[in-house]
Amino acid sequence: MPSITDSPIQPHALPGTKEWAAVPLLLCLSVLILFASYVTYNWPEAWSGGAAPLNWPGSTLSLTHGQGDKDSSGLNIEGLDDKGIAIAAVVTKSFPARDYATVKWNISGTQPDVEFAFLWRTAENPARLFSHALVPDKQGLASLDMLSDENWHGQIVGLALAAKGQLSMPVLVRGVSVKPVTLSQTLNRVLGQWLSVGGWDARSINFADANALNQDIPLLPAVFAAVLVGLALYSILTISHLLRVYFAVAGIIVLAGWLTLDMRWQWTLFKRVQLATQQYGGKSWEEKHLAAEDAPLFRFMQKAASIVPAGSRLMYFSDDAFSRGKGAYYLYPRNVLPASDFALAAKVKPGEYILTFAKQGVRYDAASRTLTADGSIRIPAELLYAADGNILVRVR
Amino acid sequence: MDILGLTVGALLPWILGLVWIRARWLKPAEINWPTLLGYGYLAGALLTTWLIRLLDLVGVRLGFVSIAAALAVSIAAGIWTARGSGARRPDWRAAWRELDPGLLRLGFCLLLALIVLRLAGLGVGVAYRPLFPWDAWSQWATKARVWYEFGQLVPFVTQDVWLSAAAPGAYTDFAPHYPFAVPLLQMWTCFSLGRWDDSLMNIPWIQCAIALGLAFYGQARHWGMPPLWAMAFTYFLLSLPILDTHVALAGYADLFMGAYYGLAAMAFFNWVRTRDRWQGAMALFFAVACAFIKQPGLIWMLTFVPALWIAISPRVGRIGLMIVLGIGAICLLALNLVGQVELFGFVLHGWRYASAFEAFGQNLFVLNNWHLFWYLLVIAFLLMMRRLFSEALRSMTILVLTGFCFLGIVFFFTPAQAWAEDFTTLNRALLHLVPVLVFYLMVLWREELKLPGWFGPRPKVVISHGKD
Repeated sequence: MPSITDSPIQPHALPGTKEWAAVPLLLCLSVLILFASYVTYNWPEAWSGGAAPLNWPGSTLSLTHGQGDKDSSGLNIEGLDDKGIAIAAVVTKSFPARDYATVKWNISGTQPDVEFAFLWRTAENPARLFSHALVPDKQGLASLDMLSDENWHGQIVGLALAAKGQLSMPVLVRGVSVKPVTLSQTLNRVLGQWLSVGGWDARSINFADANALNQDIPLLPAVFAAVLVGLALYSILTISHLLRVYFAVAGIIVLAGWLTLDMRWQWTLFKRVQLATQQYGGKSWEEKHLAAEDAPLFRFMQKAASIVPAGSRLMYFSDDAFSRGKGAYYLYPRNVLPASDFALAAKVKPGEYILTFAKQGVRYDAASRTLTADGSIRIPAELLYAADGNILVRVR
Repeated sequence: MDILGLTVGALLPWILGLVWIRARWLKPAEINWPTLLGYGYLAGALLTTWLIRLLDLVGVRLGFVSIAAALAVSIAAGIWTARGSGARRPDWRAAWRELDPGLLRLGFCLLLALIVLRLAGLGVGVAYRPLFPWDAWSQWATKARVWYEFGQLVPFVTQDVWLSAAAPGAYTDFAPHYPFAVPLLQMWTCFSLGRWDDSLMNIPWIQCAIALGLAFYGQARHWGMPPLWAMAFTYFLLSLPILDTHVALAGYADLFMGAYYGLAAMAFFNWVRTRDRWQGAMALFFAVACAFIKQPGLIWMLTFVPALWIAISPRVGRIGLMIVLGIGAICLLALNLVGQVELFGFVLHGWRYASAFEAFGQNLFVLNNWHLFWYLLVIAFLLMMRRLFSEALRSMTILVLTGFCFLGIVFFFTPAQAWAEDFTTLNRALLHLVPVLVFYLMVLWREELKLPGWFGPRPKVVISHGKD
């Protein structure tokens, strides 16, 4: 007799239309949930209008260096101290740096011979004064975006304006205002960090994407969180019997996260390939090295190599690890031994060669025809080539 | 000469490997073409380096003509051994038919296009950029340059020996004891190019990536994965940023190490499952090959021993492994008390975990070195913990765990911990294991993931019993 029973789940079957349609919606919802959580945690006041700007009128500032006086319009800086400096400071009620991004000094009387800087102290390190240069504009001084300054952190307890140079007329400080970080500023900053592309560097072979070290919100965990929330939402919908279970749906959510990361990586690679083709395209292998960042090293080694016959024994000294290793590579097929300790030069036999590059304390004495180091080591040698303090000799 | 020579130089090792792994006595009839092509290149590359060493040993001056002639003769011999092997013709239509409905085809083509785009971009990068990363010019290409210029395998000795002049004519670099295979491939590419070129000599790195992708896809299909699933994981593997970086900034041996170990492991997994002779032979050949790529290759080769033991004799192997594991744990505990010991020239010290864990956390889960791979692997382990030692997965799991043990000992009990902390070696060492792990992850997700009964609606169906 036939019976009705539960069939086993067939997770590898293809999803139905409803499940396909759900994937982008789940991903969007996941991103929205994470975004809302982030905003709620970091900007609890974002929903209620945000933090209030802070203002200090010029009359609240006092001169700690230089001369001047206050009137109803603000603080007048009329003279600098004997070091050519004036500082107008205000002790503030402490406020968190992370909530405030823009600093605006309202002054008139900027002049070409006077440089201005913004100074501040933090509660964590009140003895230290941090500074950020101010740039004049048509209205006085341009606003500062402090989010990019790594010293703008912790609790701020004091602000000041420094003027340095030669004052030809008084400077009127009407006041200073500090404006809160806006959500759009932060999002721009985070997106900027996520999308920034750097070239290859010496660390690249060991870990990709060194930029991630400086990201406020690292992209990888952020994408994983979005995938995880998307999967959790899908699970809830399947447990609630609103959708059926298909591994393909979960797989596509994971693939979407992977693709997000990989598209950024592909873009990075594309930009790097573009840079490489611009820098090295159509060049021979020697020309490529002459177009590379270490061209001076390559040029010097090429010249030295042209003097030393292939197979000749050559001891090569440099204090710099990169120059030592890479320079030696450029010298092959000369029989080269790279080293930093010049005492080893005593082991070089007559007829063999010594080369120095970026090596302190080694010089060639033409009068005595000796290579000397710190006066203690003297090697009879014939000078073959010298440039910028770098020396090639054959030992006599 | 450039393009023609380079093409010949790139193809000869590939053909050599391809014909020899199709030898009649290996019974390759059922092996699919992506697998043959992938295994063919990497087998051929190593065989080429062995041929070069043989030529040098008998005093033949190395050059394009001598090596190409030796390769041609070896290929001819390989063709003779492969005659009548009955390897099946590629049946692309059958694979295409499996991708039904069209949505699957679209997904398959999209993933394939992404892989091709990636490899093409990396290939352009390899061809244009002069030798860039540190170890490439301090330890590997040094030998290639000298051997290329002299046409013989001039010995490399330590700096002490060089200074003492005990080995006249010998050269030195920062790692004179490293295996020869990688610089020999660079040397061969320069011979085929007709000149020294430290960009184009790295073409074998792009070939290695292509071969790894082909072998992975082919072995996934041998495991029974549907084409789309196999292609998706091939894409996962080839899109890993660290792997791509090692192609783009060619010159290190880690990509080859990962590829040889990965190919050995995939063949081993399929051999355990089917006892297919070809798979067993490939597992053996590529496991041994590991020792010729990098120094740790010897240890990677030995990591197969526990898994093999379990595969051959599950009961005795289990007991034996537990005893070995117990002895190992006691030794490590004792090491913590002693502080430091030296074993076979390697210094082992007590457990220092804090910093290395932080470095692992940063590199695996914060920096975008591996995309989502490690997150997915951790989730797979957690969800399927109870089934990891099921009969189907036992050998795979043992091999993977042995690999992790090796890396764990290196990074938590040796001075190499410092290289993890400063991020210099950690990802490179993981790259050796990752192709295996991607295959393992694919199998876990596809075959072993079970959902609780309350998960999702189950359609009601009528089941007809035999008697009514």
